[in-house]
Amino acid sequence: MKTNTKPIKLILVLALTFSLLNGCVKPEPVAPKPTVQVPTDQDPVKQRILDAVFKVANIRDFEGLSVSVYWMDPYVIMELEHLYKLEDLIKKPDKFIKLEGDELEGKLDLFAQIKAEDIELVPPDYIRTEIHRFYLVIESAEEGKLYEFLLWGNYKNFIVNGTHIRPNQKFLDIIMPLLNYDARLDIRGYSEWF
Amino acid sequence: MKKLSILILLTFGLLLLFSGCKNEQLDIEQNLQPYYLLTENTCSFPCWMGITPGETSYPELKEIIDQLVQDYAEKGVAITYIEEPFSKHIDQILYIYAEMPGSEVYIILDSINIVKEIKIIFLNTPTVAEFAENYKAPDNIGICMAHRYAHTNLVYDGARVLTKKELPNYDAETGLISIEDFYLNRVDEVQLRAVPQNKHYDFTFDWEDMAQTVFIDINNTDPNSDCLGRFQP
Repeated sequence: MKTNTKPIKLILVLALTFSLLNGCVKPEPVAPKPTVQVPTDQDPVKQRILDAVFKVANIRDFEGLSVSVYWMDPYVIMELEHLYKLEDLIKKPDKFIKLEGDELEGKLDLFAQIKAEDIELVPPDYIRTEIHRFYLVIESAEEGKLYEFLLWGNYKNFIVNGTHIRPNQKFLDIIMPLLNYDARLDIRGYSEWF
Repeated sequence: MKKLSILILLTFGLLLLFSGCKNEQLDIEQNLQPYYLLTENTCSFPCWMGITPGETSYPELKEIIDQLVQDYAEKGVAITYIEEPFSKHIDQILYIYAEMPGSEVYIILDSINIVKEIKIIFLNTPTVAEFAENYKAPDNIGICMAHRYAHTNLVYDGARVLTKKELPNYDAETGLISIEDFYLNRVDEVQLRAVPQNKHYDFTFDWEDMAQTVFIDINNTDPNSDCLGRFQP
């Protein structure tokens, strides 16, 4: 007896199509990323930091953009006479990484999480010394340096775009996606400094 | 021939089905909290999966890690790891970095190739409350002070869980530091070290105490504290 397989095939195709449509959660349509609004009415120095942070958070075109990270091993204690200055660190870092262009896509999103209350400025009178052991710079081919993050001021303060601020782990968390596993471990070592 | 065509159809359909599910799978991994790394531990902290800080040597560690990778592969969980050398010139391993779903783990060795410390990072940073609910409530909360920063730890027998450090909430008039909404704080890392137990913190609170705002007088730390300024015991 000859079996007609057409209905079986049809049922199979229908069953598979049905499971395909219902078995999986449909991905959300890709919406354009909302633009992060910069809060205003801040202290002008704090406002400049916020402007820089949100400018980075709002980057959509990664062409010509780069992130360079220079750093020293946090567990190596240096003699006072060998305190590093930024130019020395850049010339002779223990470790260095660089990301460019599309490698940065999706890695700057956490910058949008910084709020005005996360920033506490260090009064200029309290600034005694700087030792430069970790430096991250985000640069655009067109506009130059957009964001600089430097450790340390007074052995514990962060220096963001040249301004000393009280250490807040959020400023470390936002750069974590830009770092490799080795840099992430060293940043954890540095976070014991404050 | 008929069977073959049905088989082809079935294979094609299954391929379609799996490719359609890819986004959902990715979402699950992105939101996964790796409590299994704690609940499925095979020994008592600070020992983790048979690796004991202060005891396990590098060759033993390699064996354990390879076995762990194999065991979890059988369960369908992919673990990959990298050995980071001390330097290009010295034949010694500084640490092993392992990636697991929802987590990254650093196993750090000392200068004589013995495991010194294990760091288990929860990549999707749960809140302290979520962590306590899904793993277990800590024995107590230990706090080390440094420059008015309160380093809060969830203290478990043999392990401590570091939380994220935020700007201190200092009242200049009263000289008190306040810790608000502690349960909403975020977990940073689980730290397992070869240190003697019964360490004293600058301040110790019960887990339940942290349900409300707690105040700390930084001039009134525990005289037996083992906190070393900015470094924790």
